[in-house]
Amino acid sequence: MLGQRLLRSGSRRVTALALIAFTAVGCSAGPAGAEAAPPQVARAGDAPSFPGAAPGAPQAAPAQPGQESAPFDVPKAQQASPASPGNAAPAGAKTSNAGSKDERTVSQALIMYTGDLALTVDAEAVARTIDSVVDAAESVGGHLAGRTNDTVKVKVPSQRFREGIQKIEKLGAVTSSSVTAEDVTAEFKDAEVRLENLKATRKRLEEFLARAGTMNDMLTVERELERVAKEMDVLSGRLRFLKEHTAFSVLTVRLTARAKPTPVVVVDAPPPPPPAPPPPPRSIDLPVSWFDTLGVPELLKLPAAKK
Amino acid sequence: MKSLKILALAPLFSICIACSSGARVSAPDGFAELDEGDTFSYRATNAAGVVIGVRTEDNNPRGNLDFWTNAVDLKLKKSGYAAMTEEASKVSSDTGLDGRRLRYHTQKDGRTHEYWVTVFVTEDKVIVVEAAGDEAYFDKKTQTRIEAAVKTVKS
Repeated sequence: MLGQRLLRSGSRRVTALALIAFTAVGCSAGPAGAEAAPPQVARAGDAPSFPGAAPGAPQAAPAQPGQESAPFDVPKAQQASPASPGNAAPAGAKTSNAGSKDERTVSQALIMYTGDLALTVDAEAVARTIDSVVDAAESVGGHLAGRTNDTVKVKVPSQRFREGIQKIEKLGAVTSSSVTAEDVTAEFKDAEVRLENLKATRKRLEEFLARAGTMNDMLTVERELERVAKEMDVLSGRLRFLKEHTAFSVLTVRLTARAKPTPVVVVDAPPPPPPAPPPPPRSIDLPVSWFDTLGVPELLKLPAAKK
Repeated sequence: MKSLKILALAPLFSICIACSSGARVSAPDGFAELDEGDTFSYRATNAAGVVIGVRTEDNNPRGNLDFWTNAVDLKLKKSGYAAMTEEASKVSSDTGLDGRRLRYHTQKDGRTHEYWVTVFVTEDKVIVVEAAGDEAYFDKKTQTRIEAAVKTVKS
């Protein structure tokens, strides 16, 4: 692409520079042969054998002094991963075809673990159990990642993920448990290879920039340097994310209060209602008119005072 | 001439008879007679408002002493009067007329009143002697005076 752009400029000199750049990129094996320190990331060999986790293998050799290391100290074995589809490197560039595929899957798998655990505890012990979960995570080198009233999320080192989850499972009755593992080895190594290639490209471009004779050449190379830098930033960020998420696994613990047994209250049958009182004895109203005035009010009704 | 005088006096005589119809009792000590009004044939009160009254009604439907005593008792109980005794007490007038006395408590103007009803029955009349007053003033002395007055009933 760079070569085409330079060709369109019509400058022979630039064309020559572009050709040199292609050659340089193709030859930029980067720190090929350099053996960097192993990344502090989870590998199948370090992590417990959860479903989906690849079998373990020894870690890569430590970095040797004086050698340029990859941004994330990727071991040589990891640098030999295959490129992702659509990310084919330019001819001559370091490609992921170098190295053995079997070797990668067996020895250097990078796994992101995510665990979910549901525990049932006594209602009054929920808050205390959350604290205990955090303590258990810290005891294996982890830390709290978030909590609510009944849920706590902790991050534990992937190498000690199994140990951590076993400790936490003892804090209550496990009602459900799940662990997922995502193998990000290929993505990690692809990103690393691409980053190394870009670094080499940048180095060559900087050399061209130093030798650029015209302002037009300088601007062209500057634009290319800027593009390369942006792409390197994206790859660096992605590598950082993968490294962090494979170094620590996330475990979410959900706590449910155990329902208290409802005491059986034996309620005595209510006493039968008392029988309705019998109706008053029936009596007829005698046709006696003076009965209407019988009683105290009529008797005590004093006559009006005489004036 | 003599017959004309008799004819002229006849209405007055009739009026006098009408005025004096109905039973009466001798006023108890400390009581003053009141206008009897339309309901009573005699009525008197003491200074504390204890009143004794006599009503004279036709014995219709014709009944004996037990009938009228029970009829009056049922009527009063249905009206909310609380009997002070289970049985009516027997009384008799100075003239030998048998009667029954019923005693009740009742509320009037937020005060407990005592109410006595004494029933006498003749061939054609029912004589009812009533006495009532605030319980505070219906004391033993007053009761004794009323009992004495009731014995003086005359038809």
